[in-house]
Amino acid sequence: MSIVKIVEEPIDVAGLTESLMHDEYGGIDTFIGTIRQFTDEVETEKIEYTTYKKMAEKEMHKLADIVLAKGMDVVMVHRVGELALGEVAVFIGVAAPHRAEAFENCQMLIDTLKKTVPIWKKEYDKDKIRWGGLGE
Amino acid sequence: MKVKLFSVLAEKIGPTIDLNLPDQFVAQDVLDQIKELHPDYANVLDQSLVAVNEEYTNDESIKLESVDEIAIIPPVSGG
Repeated sequence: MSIVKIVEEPIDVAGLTESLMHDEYGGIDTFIGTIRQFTDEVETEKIEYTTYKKMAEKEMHKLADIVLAKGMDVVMVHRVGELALGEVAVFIGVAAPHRAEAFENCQMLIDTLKKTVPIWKKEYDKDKIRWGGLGE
Repeated sequence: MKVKLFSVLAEKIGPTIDLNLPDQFVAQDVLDQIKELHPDYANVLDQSLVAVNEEYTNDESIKLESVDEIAIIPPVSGG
């Protein structure tokens, strides 16, 4: 029942959370990444995400499969396009028999996604445009 | 061979770049060719990886005949 995809439309947080609820799982951990206004002194106005979609979904499936193989359920959804402040960019959810595994695997998924999945942010800040991931 | 570009490279150079790749090459050769054509983006290219057929490559030798798709992956920043 896992859901792994890149979308252009707004992420349905309630619906995705609901999809993780099954009788065999007692612990569901979710991570929701949203567009933040301030990073220290820098004020962000919006973020545009782009992706190499085929490869990104492939990389996301590789990660999801690790967790699915442990008998848990997984949701990984990333949105691309132009996102306003407060909008949801990414939703990660893990449903497991117990909370410890849910916490641990949810954190592994978001941490690894940020390192390996080909998605890029172009940050429109008040002072200038910044490309995520690049050293200045 | 058309090489796909993304993020800042796509915006500054274009969505693809045409390269003449030999029958056998490594990822660094691809990055070096683009650097020669666009020295302004050497800094980004030095931080980029090369994906062949939607898989990351390292230092392995790549046969041109096995390549369906090749892409430059600048540092990712999803989430």
